[in-house]
Amino acid sequence: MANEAHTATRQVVESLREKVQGPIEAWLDICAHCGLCADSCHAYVGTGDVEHIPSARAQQLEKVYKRYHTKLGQLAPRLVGAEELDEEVLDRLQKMAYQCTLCRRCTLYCPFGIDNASIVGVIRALLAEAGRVPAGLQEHTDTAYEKGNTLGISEDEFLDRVEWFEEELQDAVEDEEAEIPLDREGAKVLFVPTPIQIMRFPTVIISAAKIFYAVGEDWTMSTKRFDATNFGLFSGDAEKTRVMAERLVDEMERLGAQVLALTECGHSYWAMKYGAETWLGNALPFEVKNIVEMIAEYASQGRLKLDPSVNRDVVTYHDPCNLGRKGGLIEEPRAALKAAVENFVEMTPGAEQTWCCGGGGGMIAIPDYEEVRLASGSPKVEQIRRSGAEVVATACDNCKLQLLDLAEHYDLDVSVVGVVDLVADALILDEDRD
Amino acid sequence: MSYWFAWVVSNVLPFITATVFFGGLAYRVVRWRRIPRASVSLVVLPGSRSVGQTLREIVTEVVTFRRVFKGSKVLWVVSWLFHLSIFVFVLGHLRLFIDFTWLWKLLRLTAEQVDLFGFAGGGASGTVFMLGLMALLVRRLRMPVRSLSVPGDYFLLLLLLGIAISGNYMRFLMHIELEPYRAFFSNLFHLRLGVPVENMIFVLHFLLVQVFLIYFPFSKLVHVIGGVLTLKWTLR
Repeated sequence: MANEAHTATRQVVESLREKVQGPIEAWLDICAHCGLCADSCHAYVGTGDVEHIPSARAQQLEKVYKRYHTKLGQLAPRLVGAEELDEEVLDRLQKMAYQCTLCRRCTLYCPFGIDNASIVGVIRALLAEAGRVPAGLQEHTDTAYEKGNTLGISEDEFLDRVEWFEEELQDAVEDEEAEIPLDREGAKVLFVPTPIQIMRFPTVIISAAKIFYAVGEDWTMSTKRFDATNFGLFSGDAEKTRVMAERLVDEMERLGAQVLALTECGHSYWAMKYGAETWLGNALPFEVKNIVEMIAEYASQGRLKLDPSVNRDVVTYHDPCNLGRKGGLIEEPRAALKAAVENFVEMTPGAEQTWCCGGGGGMIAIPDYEEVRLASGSPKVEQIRRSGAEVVATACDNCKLQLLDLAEHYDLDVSVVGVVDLVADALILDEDRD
Repeated sequence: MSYWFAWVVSNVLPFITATVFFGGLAYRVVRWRRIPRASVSLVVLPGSRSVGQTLREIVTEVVTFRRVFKGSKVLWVVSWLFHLSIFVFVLGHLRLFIDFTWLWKLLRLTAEQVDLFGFAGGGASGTVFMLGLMALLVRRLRMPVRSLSVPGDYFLLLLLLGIAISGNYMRFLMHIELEPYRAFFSNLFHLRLGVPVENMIFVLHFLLVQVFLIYFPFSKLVHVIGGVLTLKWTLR
């Protein structure tokens, strides 16, 4: 037993050397402990726990790295503040890494642009190798890896749900021919939802189908791959991350689609648009788009007719970190919303500087972290309150689940909806469609 | 005893300092430029920036400390003035090595005016630098920054405080004629062993500066070059 633990630690120590290189090492070297990141981090601001200061996370990794991979750290660990990787340190690293949502807000406030999300990504990778992924997140990752989706939905269940979605679509557009195409080879667009949407937020899929119907998009869904998420990325498991990305790439190839249209989901967009290339070792032979990006395109091409007067409530938009700050989709969701609602207000600070909801990075899947998660969301709650919005629109399941929890916990009187839902509600369908 | 001490600080240590400083920095940069073997995706803040825009952002950042301003106005005032004072007195110290006679001619300044100018600039920057260090030290001693601080952080501030105090002492409480110093540095640059300047405060100041330069590549001071390099990565 002790031997096994020893072997695990040795593996982590070895892989530290591989992972703390280049930019990561530079970031650990230059972080001057100025503490400017503290007030930029929702986890620290929300909990007041100094172990959540981004610089503290980097420092903890640096201490362990020094202990094993620098001469001074080996000879005089105390002098340079090097620390042995024992159970206590592993526990602290686990808390620091998985209670961080990887939102990259601190990167914007760091004078040197140190990327804490990459540093925490390295810590997560180490912990995943040591078998220290928190309960909940590990199970979701394993289910997704073994069964193809995070909730273990069978193909039959999926088909049942889609049948119902299709009926809803037909009612909504008053067209009995309207369909949700499945496994259609040669379709231009492959739309991939998330298991949570299939089971809990079905309107996202129905709304997307309605929008595709309205613009006459050449699209399909897959009966094999209906999970856009990448829980390997959350857990830090490099191999599973790669496999999960590869599955979507293979399915695109099988169906011969040109555009991978990812549903309202933050991290899957980042994973496929920016991560996959590195993990798979080559550029993807197709385009990766998020559904809000596609809606903005349809609107700018004049293919969508929208009547904003159906959405009269005051609406604000919560930027999922992976779409906005980390994904570069700032204008697109706003363009879609402004066309679909009458009263749009911004939160301050807005756009790329917006506060993280506190539920990302896989935290929502870890039951033990609920208390911290709710506390971490308090800057967001304040921000929503100040905006005076009645409706918070967003484009990510994680954010949505967290915002719903926050609304309940903090008595925040807002409804939480998807951007696609508001757009779909505002759709004007041509009577004389051919 | 004190003569030999001054002799070592003036004639031996500088060569060690220069070797460690430049060698250490080169070692750092070489390490930073390695590509991680693990497949970590380093796309940080994607956006369609041209090379020109990235460059402009970096220059703006270095000159104005925009990100610090965004985070804390008080810290911005302190750290911007602090770094500006460093810039000013580093420039001022060049007068130890060369006399910019052409510049004074161009500006039509007499020798007395140049000295007065030097006194004002050096005095102001030295004072701001010292006060800035104290402010940073106080900030470091308070939460939450205290929780992030390691012995090295305090060592650096105290070392710099020592440099500031000895420098300001010479500026305000001693009368310094530049000529012997210029002669000393000229010897040093021509790799000639020379007689140390007879000023123990200077020897102390020079020693602390060299300790600082030796420590530089192994300390958080590498942010001076690393900060610029990493901004480039983040903003690509």
